[in-house]
Amino acid sequence: MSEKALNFGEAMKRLENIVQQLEQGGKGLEETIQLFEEGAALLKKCQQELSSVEDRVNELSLEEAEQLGDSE
Amino acid sequence: MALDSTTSSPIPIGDFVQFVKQTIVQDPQFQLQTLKGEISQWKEHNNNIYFALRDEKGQMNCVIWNASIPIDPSIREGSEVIVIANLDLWPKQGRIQLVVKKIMPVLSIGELELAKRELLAQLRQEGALDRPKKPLPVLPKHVMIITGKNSAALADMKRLAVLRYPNIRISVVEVLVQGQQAAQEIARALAVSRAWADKHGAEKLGIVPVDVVIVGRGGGSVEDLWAFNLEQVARSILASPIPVVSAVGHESDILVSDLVADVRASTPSHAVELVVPDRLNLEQWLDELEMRSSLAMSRYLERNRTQLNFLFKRLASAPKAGVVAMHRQLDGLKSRLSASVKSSTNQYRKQLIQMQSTLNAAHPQRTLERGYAMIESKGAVVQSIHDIEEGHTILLRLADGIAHSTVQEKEIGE
Repeated sequence: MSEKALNFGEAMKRLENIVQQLEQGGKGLEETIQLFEEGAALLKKCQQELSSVEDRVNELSLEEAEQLGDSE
Repeated sequence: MALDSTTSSPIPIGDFVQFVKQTIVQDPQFQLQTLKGEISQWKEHNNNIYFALRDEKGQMNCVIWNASIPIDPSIREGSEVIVIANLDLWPKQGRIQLVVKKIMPVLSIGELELAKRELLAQLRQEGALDRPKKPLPVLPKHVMIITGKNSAALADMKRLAVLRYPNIRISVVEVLVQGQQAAQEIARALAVSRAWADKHGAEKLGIVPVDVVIVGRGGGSVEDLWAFNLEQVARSILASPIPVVSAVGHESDILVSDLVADVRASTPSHAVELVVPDRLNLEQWLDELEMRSSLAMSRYLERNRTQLNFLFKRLASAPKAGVVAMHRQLDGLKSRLSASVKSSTNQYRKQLIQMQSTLNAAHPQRTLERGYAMIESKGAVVQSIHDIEEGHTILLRLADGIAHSTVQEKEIGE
């Protein structure tokens, strides 16, 4: 799965979908385990993302903000 | 007394007037001043415009030379205007006057409303008012807040954001939110947000791309909030590649920024509630999903246990080749399960261990315990009669030991 490309919202949506499929059941062992594995990986990714966002409130004047871009 | 000093030669008045003129022209206090007043005695003559700028305390003559600057057609006798002008003195008449470099109407509330209505009509015609709105990110990675420096609104927003999500990343860009410069500054800050939202631009700056913008201020009078009704602000909101939340504290009137933004918040704090997720809520949501998937998996196993057991029983009475194939499949499953056990959370781990024990029940060993034997030759499990040579040594693996045997004769089946 291309989990890296999913943002948090998309990962949550996919996770919901996986859990629903697991809840519905009716799939073979192989497919069920595959879903379960994908779900586990997505959960881990989401939980990591929740704690990995940096804590920073940056205050800039308009001029400072503009200069930051111009210095390139 | 004055006559006492007549010994020094008197200054011709013309020279004195020139001296006064030089003094005025060279003093920056008198140059490019921004002044406000009402127009009276508006006259156009020889392409020059003459008028007086007055209020209840005083007045001064003004001139616009050669009609050299753009003049708003609404300006006329009695209009409230703001001018930027230099003080000057006309030596011939000894008359002090203002040379006007720029003149702008001060719009009355009625005129402001009219301008707003025209802008809205224009935007509606362009389809800008019912364009598809961009959804807010579930978990924003970088929030930009554009608002007044040291404002109460800013303090409220920061406090609330950190309360909801202690490690949220926020960049505040401080601008003027009222007065002549406000619209321009807000538009410039939105231009910064566009640059920072761009993936490559952000990469160059070494920042995480901005994925949502809050632009707003606390409440105020209709005039105080007026920048948010101006086209410049509306256009820069519309140009944004990322969702913009309009967050101006007011109850009655809806501002143009509210209508063109992707989301309208009633106050700056409300905007933070919409944009910054409550971290505890998200954690709870994830926990719930984890529990539901865990439960679903255990139900799945429960439901299929009978079927799995049945399969294992059939295997037990199946030919040896089947046992070996099953063995391989189980080995594969087990290693995959243990890999996902390693990468999963505790709750999953328990679930998977339970699953593993179910699968263990199907291990070939169990089959051997039923009285079957597995044949091995040269370190591999024998699956075909063709793998065995007469006279060679083979191993008979039983549940509780190995018998080394010699093949006396082989009969090939169909």
